[in-house]
Amino acid sequence: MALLSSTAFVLATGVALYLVYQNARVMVARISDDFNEQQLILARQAAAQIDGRLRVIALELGGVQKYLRVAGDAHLSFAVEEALERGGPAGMRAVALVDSAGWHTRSWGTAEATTVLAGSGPQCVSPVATETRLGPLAVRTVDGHPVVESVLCSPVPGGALLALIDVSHLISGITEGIRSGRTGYAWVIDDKGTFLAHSDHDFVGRNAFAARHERRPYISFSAIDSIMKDRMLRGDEGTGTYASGWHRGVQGEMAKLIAYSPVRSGAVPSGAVWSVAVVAPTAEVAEAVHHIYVRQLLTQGAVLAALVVFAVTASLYQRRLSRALRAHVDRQQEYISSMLQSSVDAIIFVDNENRVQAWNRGAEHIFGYTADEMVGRTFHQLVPPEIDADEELERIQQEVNEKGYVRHYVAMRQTKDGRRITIDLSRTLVRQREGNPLGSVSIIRDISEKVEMDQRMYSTEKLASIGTLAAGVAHEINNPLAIILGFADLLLERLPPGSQEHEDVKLILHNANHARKVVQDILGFARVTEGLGDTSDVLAAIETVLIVSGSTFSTRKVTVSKELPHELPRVRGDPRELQQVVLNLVSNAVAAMQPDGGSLRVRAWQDEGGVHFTVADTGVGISEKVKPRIFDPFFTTKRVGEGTGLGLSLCYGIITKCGGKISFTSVARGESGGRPSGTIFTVTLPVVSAESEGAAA
Amino acid sequence: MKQRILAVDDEPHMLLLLERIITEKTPYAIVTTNNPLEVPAILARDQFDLIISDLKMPGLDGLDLLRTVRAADRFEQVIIITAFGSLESAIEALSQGVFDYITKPFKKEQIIFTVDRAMRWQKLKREMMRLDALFALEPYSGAEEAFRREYISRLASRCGGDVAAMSQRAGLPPDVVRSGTTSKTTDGGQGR
Repeated sequence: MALLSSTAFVLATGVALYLVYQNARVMVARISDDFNEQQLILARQAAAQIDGRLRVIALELGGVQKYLRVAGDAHLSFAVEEALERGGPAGMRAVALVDSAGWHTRSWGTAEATTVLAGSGPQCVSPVATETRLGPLAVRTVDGHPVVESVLCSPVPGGALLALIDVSHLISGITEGIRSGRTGYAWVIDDKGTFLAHSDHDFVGRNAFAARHERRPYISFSAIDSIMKDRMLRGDEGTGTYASGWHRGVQGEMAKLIAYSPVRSGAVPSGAVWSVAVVAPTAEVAEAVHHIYVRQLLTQGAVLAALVVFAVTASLYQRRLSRALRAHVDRQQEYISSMLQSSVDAIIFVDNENRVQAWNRGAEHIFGYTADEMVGRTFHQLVPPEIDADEELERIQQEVNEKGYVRHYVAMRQTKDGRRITIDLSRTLVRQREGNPLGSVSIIRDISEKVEMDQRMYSTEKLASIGTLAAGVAHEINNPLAIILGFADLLLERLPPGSQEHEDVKLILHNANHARKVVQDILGFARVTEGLGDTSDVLAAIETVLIVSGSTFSTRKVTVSKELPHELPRVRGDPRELQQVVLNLVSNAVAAMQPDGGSLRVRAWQDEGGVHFTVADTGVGISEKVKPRIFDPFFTTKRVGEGTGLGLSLCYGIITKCGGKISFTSVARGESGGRPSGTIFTVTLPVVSAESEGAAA
Repeated sequence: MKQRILAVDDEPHMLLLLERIITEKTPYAIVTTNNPLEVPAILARDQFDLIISDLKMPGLDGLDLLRTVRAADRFEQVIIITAFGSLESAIEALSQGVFDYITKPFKKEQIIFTVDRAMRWQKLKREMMRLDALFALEPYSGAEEAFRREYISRLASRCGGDVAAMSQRAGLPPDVVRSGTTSKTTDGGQGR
């Protein structure tokens, strides 16, 4: 991202700089064009002025001609001198009147000038001129300087009027006043390429093509040669550039801008074209341009700098922002990760192959396996051996795939140390942004305690309602039972002992009494509110039962170990009933260890929760299936006739009505997973305080 | 005169059993009814020493009956029999002044023993009431006369009506003793 943006920035800067450069170039070109256009105007003006001067001279000569025709040659001098005076500044040097043979009849002007003029008379009259026209140009050296001169001929009756024109003076009077740019100047060539005027006086009267090459033979003047030959000498107007070797006093190769315009004058012989050129070094324009260019560059540079500053600031801000954002994200991530890690519930992530990828501390705590032990593995080892792991895990997976989640699925699992726990599992499919499944996240809660409590609550309620029902049934049975017993008893007395009838009625009595015992037990279980206020001694109850059962232990191959304190506080409950509880538990323990025998271990102790005692055996244990029902009345695993199924219900009824608790843990043979089987019953009874004991007494 | 028992139970066989136990094993007379609503009418007509009632009956239960007897300040004692041996009903019954409380199924000895105990209690109570009445007589001459008659009556029952022996043992003239025995026959109905 950063690379991309910095690349983009560099590119944009490069483009901006290129645009600035291009812009400057375009501007130089445009300014050069503008400059040349201005030069062209100067050239045009110069051409017009040259034409004007030639016209002035022609006009003056025309005036003299007209005077001569009207007034004759009387006072002609006056008219000619007038004309010379007015045409002098334009370059009119002398005037002569010649006869038809071309000989001077009269002349005016300086001697030198009239001498020059004297030789050109015949040329002027032959052929006989019909109109005023300029004669050929001639170069003469005056005071060491070349001067281009020409003669203007104007026909008069019987001869002609001649006027000597200093062309160099005529033109330079105009061109010397021209300043193109700072140092640009003008020069003029005639139709043969001869310099008529030039700021460098040595060039005047010389052929331009030759003069240049002579002065700087190593410079290619092809550009200016081409311009002169193809354009200027043909009378075209235009602009251009060329290479030159000098400019005024400055020597060296340089580029020049040139604008040229032809002089179109009636005075110049037809077909002959003079051309005015205005030139200036490009550098001069460039210099002018340079300022603008620099200003432009500075402006654009300033804008660019502002942009750069803005970009840098923005980038810094962005960096700070992204740093803050990253810190925020880091923090969020830390929250989430610590939330995940420190959750009491297990939070587990598995991939599509059902292999654990994340295993939090909650999971470690619940299952006992560390993340190192679980990551990369499946849930199979968590499923207890008695459950078909493949089938159950497949079922969960299928539901997750179909619905996208599983909510509050309750299952049995096994911890690392072999403990069975009940879990509440919620599992959700996790998808990538594109929608492909990534795996699933499971939130698992250990609900063993809750389930146990629920079960206890349920069984308390269940037993209470069974108790109520049993009491009602007992009542109904007791009535007829009382009648049967009563009449049988009365009948027995009347029958002679030893008779068949006597024996039969005794059998009726025996069985009716058995029924009476069963009903009493039911009521004993149901009468949960009775017996309050009675107190008993747990140690005495245990000792009594162990003594009474002594012979049973030896015949049933049971070894007994005791772990009893010297004394324990008295507990709530009827002593006979407590003995009954201990006896039932011990009998059950002995029965569970048949036929091979085993060891019975009885412990008792006291803590702030009350007096506890446990009866532990190494018997067959209680299977998971049977566990929820063992306190139910009439529930028995013994064969018909061996037990009524009331023993543990009675224990439960007795202990509960005393405000105590009875619970058990058991490992059944075959479900043990390698652990020794057996059952431990734990009874807790509330201690009777001194005051309440006193009150009860 | 036999001491009398009223047995009330909605179960006729139970009444039959009680009747058999009482008539065969005790010297007391028994009247039974299986309709508890009849009991107030029977009590209005007759007086008993003991009422044996079932606790749970349709219409009028054992505790209602007990309350009726106690409210009328009657002489009868009440024994409650029930198959529903709850402590609450027992405490309720005892607080209402029941004589005893028997749970079904019972052994006949339990009935015999409890009934016997109640009858002896009633007999003593009756005796005490007679003595109380004797001491309450006014004027003294009348009380003395009544005491003399009672004394001679009991002397006669101890000596089997032998006037000479009575006279000798009591140190009273024979005519006085004789007058006492003659008057005993007239007062006989009172002693029941």
